[in-house]
Amino acid sequence: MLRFPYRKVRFPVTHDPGPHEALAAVRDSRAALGARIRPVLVEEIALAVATGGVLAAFALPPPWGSLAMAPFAVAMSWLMVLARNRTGLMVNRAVCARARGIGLAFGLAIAGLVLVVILSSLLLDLRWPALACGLLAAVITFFGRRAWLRAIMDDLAGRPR
Amino acid sequence: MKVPQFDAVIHAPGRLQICAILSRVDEAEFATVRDLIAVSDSVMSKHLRQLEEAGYVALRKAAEAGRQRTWIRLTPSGYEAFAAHVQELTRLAALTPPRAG
Repeated sequence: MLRFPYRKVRFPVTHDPGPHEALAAVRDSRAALGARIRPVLVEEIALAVATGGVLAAFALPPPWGSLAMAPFAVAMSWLMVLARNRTGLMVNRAVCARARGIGLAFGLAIAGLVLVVILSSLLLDLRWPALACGLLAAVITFFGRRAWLRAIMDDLAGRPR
Repeated sequence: MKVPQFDAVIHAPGRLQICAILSRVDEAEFATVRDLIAVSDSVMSKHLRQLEEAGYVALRKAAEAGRQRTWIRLTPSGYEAFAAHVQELTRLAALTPPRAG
C-alpha cells in the first residue's frame, strides 16, 4: 500500500460542509497561507543590501557607477525569485489596506531617494548623497518589507491590527 | 457589492480551500497549495481540473532551474464566484446555529 508522508489532514472537511464549517475552513486555509510567507532574516538582509547597493553605486564616477549597479540589480531580482520559489507564492497584490499603505509609503520613499541620488550625482556632481541614500534605502527596505509581510500575515491570520 | 450566491463547484471540500488560498495571492505553486490543503497530487489535479473547466482558475507551466513548476491563479470570474459564495456562506451562517462537535 502506498503511503504519502505529507498527507496529514489539516482541515478534516470530508463531507458536505455546513456554512460554519466551510467558513472555518476558509479562515484556516488563509491562516496556513500566512504562516507560509514568514520572512527569512538572511534573505531580508541580502535584499536590503542589494537595494542600498543600487543607489550607493551612484557614488562611483562614471562608468564605474553603472557597472557596480548591475550586480546589485541582478541580486535584487534573484532574491525576489528565490523568495517566490521558497514560498511557492506570489503575493505582490496588497491584500489589506494596511499592507497597501505600507507598500505605497515604501515605494514613495525609495522613489524619493532615487530622485535625490540622480539630482545630486548627475546634476550637482556630489557623490556622498548617493552613499547616504543607499544606506537609508537599505534600512527602509529591511524594515519596510518586514512590516509589509507582517501586515499581510496578520490579515491572513485574521489578527487585529 | 457582490450578490450572495451559492456555488456548488467551489463549495466542495478541497476546492473551497484552494479558492480561499488563491483569493489572497497573485499566484501559488501547485505543490504549495497541495501541501497547504494536505491532499495527494491526483486529488489536487482533479479539483483543479474542475475549477479550470468552470473557468475559475488558470494554470501556467514554467520551467525554472531545470524543474517544471505549475503556477495557479484565480481568474476574475473565479474571484467573483468565490466572493459571492463566501457572502452566501456568511448569510447562511447567520441564519443557522453551528453544528455541535
